[in-house]
Amino acid sequence: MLSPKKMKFRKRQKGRNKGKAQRGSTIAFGDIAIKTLEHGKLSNNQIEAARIAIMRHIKRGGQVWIRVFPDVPVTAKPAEVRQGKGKGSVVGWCAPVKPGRILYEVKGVDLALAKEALVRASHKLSVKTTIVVKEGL
Amino acid sequence: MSEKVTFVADKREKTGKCQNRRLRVAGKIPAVFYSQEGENVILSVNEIEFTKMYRKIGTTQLFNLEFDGKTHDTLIWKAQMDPVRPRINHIDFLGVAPKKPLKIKVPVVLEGTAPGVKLGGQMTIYREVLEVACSAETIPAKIIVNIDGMNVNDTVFVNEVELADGAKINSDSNFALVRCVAGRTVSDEDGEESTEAAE
Repeated sequence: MLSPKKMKFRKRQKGRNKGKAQRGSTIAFGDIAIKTLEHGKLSNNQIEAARIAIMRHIKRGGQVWIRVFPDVPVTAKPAEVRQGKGKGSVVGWCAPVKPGRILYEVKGVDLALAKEALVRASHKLSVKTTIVVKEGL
Repeated sequence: MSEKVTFVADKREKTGKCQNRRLRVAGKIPAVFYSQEGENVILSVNEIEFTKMYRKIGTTQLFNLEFDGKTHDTLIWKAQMDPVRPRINHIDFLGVAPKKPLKIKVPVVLEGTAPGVKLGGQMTIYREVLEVACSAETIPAKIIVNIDGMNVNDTVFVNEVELADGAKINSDSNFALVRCVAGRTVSDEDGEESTEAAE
């Protein structure tokens, strides 16, 4: 599962996720990709599940790039605990995404097969997505 | 070289994101024209007509841009895309002087069928665009790399690419441009399966 190797601070405030993706919004490596259409947070479980969905569908050959990394800690308090007494402990990691962000790119397989794989991957994600193809293909 | 396309743009007076948003809602794209001679004019163009022309000529072909009753030899220097929708947000036009030197990015296109691909290799383009130093009259529309004779593990380097007279690729080192990479062997595939099982 993806997570940072080390962090300067263990816990972080939530912050806000506004605007459109200004970076990482064009296909850089592959021929076909998934792009987000809305704001959201992708957990490291979702990112991994989507990657496995792609890899199992394309089977062999081909190359996959993951363009997001879950580097924001997610905290939670245990069940049946009163409010207060400080922030909860880190339970996972997430990657905040903005509309237009490219999530996965695929290259080296038939476009129809890659599209099927990316549709399967999009079902694992908690944001609306679309499939985009590199210009000229 | 094919005949030059003529495209008409309107001069605009108002600037700022509010005005530009209004233009986009009205089906126009804000643009700027700057020339190698220092001229700088803000324009607006029709979105549908521009998109058609952009698909046809790309960024490496000269066209006539008409505004204010004058015609200018122009290149589409940059088309800024919307991050979400497939729409153009803003355009930079570069007015070129015929003899002045110019550095421009030209796309690399593969031509032919490599025998290495039939044997299971995979063509990999390391650089999809190359910076070319030339004058406006000698801009190549695309850099064509012939891959007819390429076997597995053959590489085409940037120095091997030939361009028309007056155009030169702007590079310090002789880097690899295209390579026919060997496909995965049987042992690699086994390794892949074992890593999948380990998950």
